[in-house]
Amino acid sequence: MSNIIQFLESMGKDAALANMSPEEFTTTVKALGVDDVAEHALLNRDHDALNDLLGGRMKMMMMLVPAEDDDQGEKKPDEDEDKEQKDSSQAN
Amino acid sequence: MNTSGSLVCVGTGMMLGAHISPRSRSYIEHADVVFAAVSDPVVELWLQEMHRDVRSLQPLYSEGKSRHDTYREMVDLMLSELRGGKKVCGAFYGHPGVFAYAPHRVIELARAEGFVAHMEPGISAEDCLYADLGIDPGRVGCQHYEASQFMFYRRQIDTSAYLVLWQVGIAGDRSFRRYATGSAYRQLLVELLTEYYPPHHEVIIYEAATLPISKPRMQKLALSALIDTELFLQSTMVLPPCQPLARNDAMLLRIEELDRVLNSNLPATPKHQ
Repeated sequence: MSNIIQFLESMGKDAALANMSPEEFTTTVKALGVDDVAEHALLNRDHDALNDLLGGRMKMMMMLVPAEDDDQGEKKPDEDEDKEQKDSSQAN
Repeated sequence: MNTSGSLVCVGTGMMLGAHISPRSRSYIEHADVVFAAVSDPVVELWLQEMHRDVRSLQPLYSEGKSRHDTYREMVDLMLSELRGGKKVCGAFYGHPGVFAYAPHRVIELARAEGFVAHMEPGISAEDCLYADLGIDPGRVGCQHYEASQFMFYRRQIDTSAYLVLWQVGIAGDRSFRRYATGSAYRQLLVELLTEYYPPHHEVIIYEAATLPISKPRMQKLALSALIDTELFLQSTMVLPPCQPLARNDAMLLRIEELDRVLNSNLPATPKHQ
């Protein structure tokens, strides 16, 4: 599957490949010699199918920054539960 | 302490193959160990082809676990290898210093321990946003906020400039443990924004393309429609200005007076013969 990633890298790097017409794209993909499933995924520009084929992760988390520092008021999950219990006991 | 190790945090850019700088790639290829935090699984596979020891930071995340803990663990992992004398490279998607906690923190701690540590910039989602949406942040100005932080704290919004809200898909999450917040949280965000913008104001949901076979998402909608719009972790909301720039007549007058005083003190220009 390495040649699929190499193809994607070439498309990323090379302005001519990045701007191929639909016909040129089809010809180039068919010339890669990958199997039918991979060829179909590429021709359909199907990101998820390609990822499945290549064995990539199903889920990616891309958050790299918190909304506030951890000393600025992170709310622990059990805070809600505690409050609900107190509210509930007060209601009773 | 042995400080023979070194640390660099590099940006891989947003799109596979298109954005990584030659220098960042070189750091990845020549490191002893590479830690990767990228936004696309195929990009992660691409990085693994550049180096035999690329360790994904993805397993440190899990739904229900505080991301504060995840970020601390990222820092600890990189520091641990650094203290072992390794050449450590942290490869982060986009720009490693934009909307990213761990790269700044690990560099700060590494330097405090006497290690050589630095950051190499990358092409960020913000850079892609300007290119794809045709926005020049210098034209009327541009404000950027993390969406939840924008909700948690009082801000002074300038509606004659652009407003960009990042991580809008988890807007309002105070637990830092969720992968999404729902329409009820977005309702609150819309209520906050309609203090400044009309409900019909056209906004843009933006997501940068991460593969060269993909297109960016650039969906225009009314602000009020945000509540029921499908958003993802990588979604960003752009609010164009809703009013023109307001001239500061008092300051312009003071500048004019200053110009007049300075010009009157200038020596007369000699006439050419």
